[in-house]
Amino acid sequence: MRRRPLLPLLLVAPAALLFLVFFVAPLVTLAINSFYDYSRMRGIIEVFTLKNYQRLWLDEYYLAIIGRTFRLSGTVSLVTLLVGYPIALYLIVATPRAKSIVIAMILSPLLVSVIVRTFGWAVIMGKNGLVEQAFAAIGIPDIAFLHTEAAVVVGLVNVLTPFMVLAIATSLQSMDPSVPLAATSLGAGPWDLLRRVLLPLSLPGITAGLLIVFGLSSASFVTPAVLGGSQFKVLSVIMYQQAVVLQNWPFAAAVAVTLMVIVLVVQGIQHRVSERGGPQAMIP
Amino acid sequence: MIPDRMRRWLGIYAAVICVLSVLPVLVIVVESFTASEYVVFPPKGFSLRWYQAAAQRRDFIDSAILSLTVGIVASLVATVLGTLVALAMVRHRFWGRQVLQSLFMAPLSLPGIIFGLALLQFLAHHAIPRDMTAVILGHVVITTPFAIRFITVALGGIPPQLEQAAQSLGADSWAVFRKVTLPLIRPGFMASLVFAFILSFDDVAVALFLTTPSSVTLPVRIYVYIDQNYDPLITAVSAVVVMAAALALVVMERVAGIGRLFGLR
Repeated sequence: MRRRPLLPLLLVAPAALLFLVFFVAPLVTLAINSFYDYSRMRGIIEVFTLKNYQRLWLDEYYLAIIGRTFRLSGTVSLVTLLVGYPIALYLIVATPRAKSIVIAMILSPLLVSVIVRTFGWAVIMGKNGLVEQAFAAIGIPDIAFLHTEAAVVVGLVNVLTPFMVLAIATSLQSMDPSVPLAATSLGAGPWDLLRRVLLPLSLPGITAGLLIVFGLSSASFVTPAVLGGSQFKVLSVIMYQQAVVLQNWPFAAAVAVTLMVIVLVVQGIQHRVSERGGPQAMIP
Repeated sequence: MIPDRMRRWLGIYAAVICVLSVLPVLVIVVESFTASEYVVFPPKGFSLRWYQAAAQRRDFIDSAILSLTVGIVASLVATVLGTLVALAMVRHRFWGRQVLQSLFMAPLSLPGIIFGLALLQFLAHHAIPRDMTAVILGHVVITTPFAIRFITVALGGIPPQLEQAAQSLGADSWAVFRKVTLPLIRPGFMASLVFAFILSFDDVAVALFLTTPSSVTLPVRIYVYIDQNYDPLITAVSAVVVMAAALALVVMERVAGIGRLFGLR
């Protein structure tokens, strides 16, 4: 096989061509468009300008949106860690049967479209939903939970918990099982075991999980758009509005490039921090 | 290694989170059988009226057919391309291999909405119509990395002696591939098809930007609908999507096992 150097190139050629035309070229177009001007009457004006970036990075209105995007992603990452860590811990102590059930239940929602899962939360938290009825039962009527930042956090934590669990479980699994055993036999209680043995040893997984979830939530669109309502604006939502509703493609492109830089920087940190790379992020 | 009491609490906690994680999907499926005019949970009464209503909506039927077509074509193309790439990557060392590897994995790092917007602006710039083909091409790009990974794993599991034996017995490269390699990577090939189909069938972010009135995929149709309406009709449509995913899940568990695909054993 090695005598034919052309064969591997022929094998990769179709995919490489497709990726160059329909992946690389579109990103180049996007980057170029972000430096173009726009007018409502004439559409895209092909002259170089930094206007879009100045507007996005210097205007207080948009700075607040960037800030909100970071705050949301940070909150979601931390809550996902709190929710996911005990699950990952359970996976290393559970019986094989319990383990496979938990894995299946945690991972199977990934196979359902994010729009359906998000809509499910809208039904739970919306009008006549479970949350409203639960609060009414304890004497607090007319609670408005849908279309708040908390609702978006709940939805995103639900969507992203599997990624956190996978990241932490992989790092806990690579731990020598005799280490926690030694700690317990030397008299460490559950709390000491967690704080002084398990947490430090799973730190690479925790870091990877936090960064993966941060990256995924900063670019999530469906969940903030549906659960946050029309008043809740993060970068992805204004990108969509600028592109589709207002047709200002250059500005939308500048938002997209900014978002892409945020995501790539987060991923860069993640790869640097975790030597083994951790489980690759999958974009839902 | 972990005290029994702690293990028990962890078990209870895991059960609660498991229920919460499937709760939104469960709520949709249960709610879709409601007999009421409006969304209320728990549902009032039992009926199939919203399924009947959904079946009479031409726009939803068209979207379902479109999504199925896009999913089938995109997963086939991605899996074939992925197989070719994986064969080259696993069996050969060649110039530019590392660069290509990074290129093929790059879509994993790029959020769907950014890729969708980029594709929209690219197609418009070159005056290429946005139609079903555009959505298919977009989905091929986002699913090919997974196809490459699935087939690479499958190829890694084949002892090289098998192919060498076939070769030394006089089979040419094509015969080795067709008679030895292909049957052995069949589970990976099938898993790749199913997984790519699900990714394509579920996608909102990319398709959202490529949508024209004549090409609205089902998830995008749901998104647009719940943006303006709130009634049980859409829970019935969503429940159908869930059942499609459940079916795919069963198929995938049969051919590959879910945990193994995610590197958890």
